[in-house]
Amino acid sequence: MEDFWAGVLWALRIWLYLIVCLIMIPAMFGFSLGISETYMTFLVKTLEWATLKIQKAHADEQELKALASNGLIKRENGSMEKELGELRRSRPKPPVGGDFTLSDSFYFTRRGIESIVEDEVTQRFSSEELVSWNLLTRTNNDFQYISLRLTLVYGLGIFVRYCILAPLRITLACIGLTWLVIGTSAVGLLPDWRIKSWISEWVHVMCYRICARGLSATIHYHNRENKPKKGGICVANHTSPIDIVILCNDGCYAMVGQVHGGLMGVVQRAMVRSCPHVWFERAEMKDRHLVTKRLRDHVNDKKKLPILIFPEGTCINNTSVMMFKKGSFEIGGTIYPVAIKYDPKFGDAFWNSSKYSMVSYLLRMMTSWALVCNVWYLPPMHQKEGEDAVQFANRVKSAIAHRGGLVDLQWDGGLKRAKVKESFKEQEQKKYSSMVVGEDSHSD
Amino acid sequence: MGSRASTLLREEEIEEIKKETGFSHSQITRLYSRFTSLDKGENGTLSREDFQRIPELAINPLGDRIINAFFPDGEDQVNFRGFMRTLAHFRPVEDNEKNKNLSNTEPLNSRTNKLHFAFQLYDLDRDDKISRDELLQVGAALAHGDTRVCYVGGGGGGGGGGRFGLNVQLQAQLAGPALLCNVCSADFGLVQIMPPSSGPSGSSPVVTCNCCELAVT
Repeated sequence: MEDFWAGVLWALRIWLYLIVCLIMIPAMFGFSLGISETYMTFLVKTLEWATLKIQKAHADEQELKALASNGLIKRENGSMEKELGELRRSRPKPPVGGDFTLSDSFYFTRRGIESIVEDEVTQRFSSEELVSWNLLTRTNNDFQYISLRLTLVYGLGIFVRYCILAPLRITLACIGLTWLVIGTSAVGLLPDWRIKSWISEWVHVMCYRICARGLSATIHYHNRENKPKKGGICVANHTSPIDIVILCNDGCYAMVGQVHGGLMGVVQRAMVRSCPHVWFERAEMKDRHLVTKRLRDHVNDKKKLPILIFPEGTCINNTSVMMFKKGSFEIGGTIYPVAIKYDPKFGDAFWNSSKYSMVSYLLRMMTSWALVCNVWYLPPMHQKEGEDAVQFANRVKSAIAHRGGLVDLQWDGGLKRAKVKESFKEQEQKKYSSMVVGEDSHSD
Repeated sequence: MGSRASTLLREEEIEEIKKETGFSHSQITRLYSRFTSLDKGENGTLSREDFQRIPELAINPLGDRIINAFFPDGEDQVNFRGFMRTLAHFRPVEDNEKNKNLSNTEPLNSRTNKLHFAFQLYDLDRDDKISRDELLQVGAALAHGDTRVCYVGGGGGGGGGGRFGLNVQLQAQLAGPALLCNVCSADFGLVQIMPPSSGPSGSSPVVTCNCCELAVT
């Protein structure tokens, strides 16, 4: 019996040594031994092979797949004016204007049915649909029996992911987080010399690098010359809390957010000791003026790290960018937009917070293939003369959507939980009535 | 979702829906996955709230009426069969279907059924008549009570109150592609998801409705 425990202890020690030598030390100094690169090449080859096999087996279903990616319905996508005109074409009256016509309801009916079959908003709050199965059983493509070889590869995949990668990744994540708490607390004890911020940054980046390895993250940064600089605000689209790890791998940011309890709270309190993050109490968060003031003070201090904000306010499923809340654009200062796009082939990065808790989400991520991600730094943007915060927010959002290859949506991500405001319906009605009556189109 | 959903839908059920609605197998599985993602209560049926959670539908001035069309007998739940039956009205008529006249029952996406569906959006009390009030209510729903929009032309059909009978639409179906009343501006076209490349085309014969008490010309 004692021999057994000695053996276990010995194995554990080797395990830890290996982790420290092969992962921790490279992570600390930001170089790579090429292990993850080899794993990635191997993974890409395997998935390509699987895709090919699946395609061959389902040559007849290709049509269906094409349909799945293009959607079920054909939309006209004309403006209300154009489409109503079309409907009224056979009338001996001017196509637009005049009065209410029975056929006008057809336009609204069609729009309504279209949105029931497929809508722009609610599908952004559930996992992205994949065109081809990626040998994971958690997307729109469930396990499919195609051939014995593919099933064997799938089984092997389960073994590798759950028995080798998952324990390794969990160990790394734990080490990373503990290190972050200890490291930042220790740095907090240092006197306020210039070297303090330098060490603080190093500790932060190091811990995030360890965590990123805990997710097997392969991150491609583009246009690094546009990296956010001190005294600026970095705004990015939001897919999951991992976004923070992704961005902080390449530099430090000051976080903004609510004070949490539990594990998050411990990490937050430790972090704020070493460098000035902006945490708010729940009650303070409601006071918009206070929030804006504290952020403005932070931005005006050119020595402080750039603030990182996700203006969508909620996680979107990596296919689109939804409305940016105007708050972050009212602070002033330079805005550094960043577009983040994950590769869904290797695992679904979207955090569906209504379905999974934080921990179970992280476990899912750690049992996925990997986390492959592109980050684009966009050129800094400034509010233009005569442009209000909302317009500026929209301009930044379009730039991010365009760069990241995401769909640019006007809708509020808050609709995940809340209902649409009645006023949006009224707007639609006003649009119709002003179109029909004609003369008061200037009134809105 | 996706294929996971299709496993919950039995093959014979798909066949039945296919026969009833004319949707293809892949369309049915896709719509089933949509149905299950809308079904927040996860009980296999949709309620009015489930529909109202679609923002684009919630802002639609006729949204409530469209939702009502899924609950023909005043129930408060609709199952997948019922859901598909309502959607089937919007399936485009395909070219190869047009010339075929083999089935004894009329397909749900026939011209008459499409018109009937549109008619029912107006006919709130379901008495197969559109009353003046009902017409005004649609006007009000579309235009948020802008009175310049909500009037009914002509003032014809005094006494009993101007009413568009369903039979007018059936006449229209016989008469040609679009119904048009040049007195009270009543105008019926076609509704369909995925409309054919050209809209309702051809010169339409002029038809007057019986609210104007004029003969069909």
